[in-house]
Amino acid sequence: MPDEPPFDVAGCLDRVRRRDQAAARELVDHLYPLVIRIVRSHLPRRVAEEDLAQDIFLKMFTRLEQYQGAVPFPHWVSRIAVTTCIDQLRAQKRRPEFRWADLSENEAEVLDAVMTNEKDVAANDAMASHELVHKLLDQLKPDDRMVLQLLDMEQKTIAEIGELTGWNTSLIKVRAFRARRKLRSMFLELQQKERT
Amino acid sequence: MKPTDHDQSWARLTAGARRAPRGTDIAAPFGFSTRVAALAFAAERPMRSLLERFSLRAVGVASLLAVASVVANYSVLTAHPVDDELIALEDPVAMLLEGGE
Repeated sequence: MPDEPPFDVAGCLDRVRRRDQAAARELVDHLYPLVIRIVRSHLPRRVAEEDLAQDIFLKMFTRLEQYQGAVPFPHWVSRIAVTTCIDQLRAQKRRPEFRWADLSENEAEVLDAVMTNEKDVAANDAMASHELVHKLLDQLKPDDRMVLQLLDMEQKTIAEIGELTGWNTSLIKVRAFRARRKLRSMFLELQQKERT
Repeated sequence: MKPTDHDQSWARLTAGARRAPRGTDIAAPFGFSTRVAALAFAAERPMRSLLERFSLRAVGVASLLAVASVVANYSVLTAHPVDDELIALEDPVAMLLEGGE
């Protein structure tokens, strides 16, 4: 069976600029997996992923005339997606308190295990770890949260984060440092609470 | 309970979290692209009407012309001040009042 031909982004963009709705639909369908992965990684609480994805695509179409082709189009869209997620996270002024009591039994066990022994998390606890990481990240400031998510969860380099967010290297390092310091204090607090 | 370094705890936790299965449904939901494309094109402003495009410019030009005409005729206005007495003399009301006294 022959391979599917690669999607012609440039041709599709030309058609979208000539107000071809079918081309716009094709572009959305093509970019949706990229956008939804970013949205799911940085989704703020109480925001529907589909609504956020829609906002990102509408921004993309609004700013289409600004796209000069200096970077590949998916990179340009990724940046819009990341900055839209940061804006949404910033809009959520209050962050929920992180308490042992609010954790599920499995999450509490995983947290206790990572804090008290040096073994890796078991494969069947991956989902609980994922939930825990997001609950801990939710305690951080939106920009700090974004940096740690990209560094530690998505394992991006500082340069890649710079491309995605538009922040310079020093700023990213400062935010990562601040986020890790806050995490350390949270772990310490949790340990003390667990003991009492 | 032997506490370990918190950075290591975080590293182990994120390593575990990265192994969590990712959502497999990454295709756009049915109708999503149609809705987004329609919204995107509806949001774009249609070409403004000729009246809309030129009315503000016309107001500006008219204001400039008004100012320019006052400036151009200022010397004429100041060189021949209006004679208040003459006006008063030719004023029929004033004449009536004076005649009545």
